[in-house]
Amino acid sequence: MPKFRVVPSILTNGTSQVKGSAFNNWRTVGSVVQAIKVHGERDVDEIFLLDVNATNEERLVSSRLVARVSSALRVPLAVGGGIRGFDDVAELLSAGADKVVIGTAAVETPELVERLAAAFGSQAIVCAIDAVNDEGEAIAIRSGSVHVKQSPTSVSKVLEQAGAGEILLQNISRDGVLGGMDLNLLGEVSKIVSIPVILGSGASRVEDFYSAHRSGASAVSAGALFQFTEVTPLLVKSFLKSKGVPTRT
Amino acid sequence: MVIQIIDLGVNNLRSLVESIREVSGESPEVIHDGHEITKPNLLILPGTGAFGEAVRILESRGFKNVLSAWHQNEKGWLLGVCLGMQLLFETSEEDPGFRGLGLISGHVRHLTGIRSGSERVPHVGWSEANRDDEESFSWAHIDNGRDFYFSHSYAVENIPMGIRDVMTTTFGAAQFVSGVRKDNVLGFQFHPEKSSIAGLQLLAAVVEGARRNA
Repeated sequence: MPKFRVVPSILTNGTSQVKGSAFNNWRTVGSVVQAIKVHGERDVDEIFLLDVNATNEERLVSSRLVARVSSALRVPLAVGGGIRGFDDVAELLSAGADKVVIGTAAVETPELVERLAAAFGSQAIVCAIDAVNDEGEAIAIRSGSVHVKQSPTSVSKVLEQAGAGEILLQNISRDGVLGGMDLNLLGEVSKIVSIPVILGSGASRVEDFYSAHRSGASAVSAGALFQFTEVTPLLVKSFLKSKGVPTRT
Repeated sequence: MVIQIIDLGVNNLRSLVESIREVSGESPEVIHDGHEITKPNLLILPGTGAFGEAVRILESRGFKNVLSAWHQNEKGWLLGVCLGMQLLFETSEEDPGFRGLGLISGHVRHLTGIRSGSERVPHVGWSEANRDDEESFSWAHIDNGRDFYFSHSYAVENIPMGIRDVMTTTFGAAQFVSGVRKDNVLGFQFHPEKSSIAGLQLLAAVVEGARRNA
């Protein structure tokens, strides 16, 4: 099986890098381009660039930004934020994204995922499911502003069947607060789908990555951890290696 | 040295163009029609999307005939990447009604048919591409055990005997072909342009191989 992936997640509000605390309370922390450049230079496994305001502001994550950050990158880049259809995906892939991350539009219209997977290949389509909290009864869409009463677990199955290549599983109540990850939800989702599951939200220390691996994640994405603490992807991988988890050399 | 890259439509060509530029010092030319092929030292066929659609586009843009006769007519190297490698073969389970370029005998299968256990499909992430013996890909100077970035749901499980340059990647207890070369036609199932240093080194070796073959 492929090596476990450690993925820095860079959030943008459209103009600069932000850090969210429970999907609200955005604080600007500097240039997106610079942040990605640094991660690229440190040779990370993969990078997520997510525009958290795009859907709410009814726009697409900037393809010009994607072009700027991707030109020097020699590792994969997944991009999300406000994707509503075929043209959006085509634009982002042409600009340099390797995969797109679709949240709101996928949850609202799974048939869209079918069409996109058929056109671009499942492996280019990551579906983001944002659990509202640990209860597992609702999903947040539209930048967290709307809650839909559907279980993240059943929606992940629906989206897998629609052709999603991977699931990005997050929990907005844990996002940005460095308080640990939703391993329960991960356990349920990873059992019910046979596509890779990337766990996000709440990574606070190296042990979290190991626990996520044990509970079935193929990758963990971390934002605040890499931005605001001294933990680096390399440190995480050293720890994983010491626990016998294969990571990229 | 002339390096050309085929554009089939919606691909991320940017990384490939930049990577080739970085390792060769040349600016590769992106071409959209078979008429634009001009005796390149290296022609790259990337690909994302589906086999059938890609074959359809190769036909409609006048690429199919030229590429299918590559061994007979061309001295330059033809490199297929990801779906591009799958297109080098004869048929694919993905779209049974379509024929690939047929440059190497073999059939592309869905990974769920190849795997033996609970490996997740699509195969996304970093996996090792290994050479079964020392002769295989020796010109590329790549150590065994290097990880490359894969992102696919289909792969070639078996290729004919007698092909010397073969790389395989394990998928649970099973394996598939991750690299192959038959004379001046080669393919990689992974994305060398997205595989960091290992990928760049491999691309550099391909460029050098193509240059020496001229």
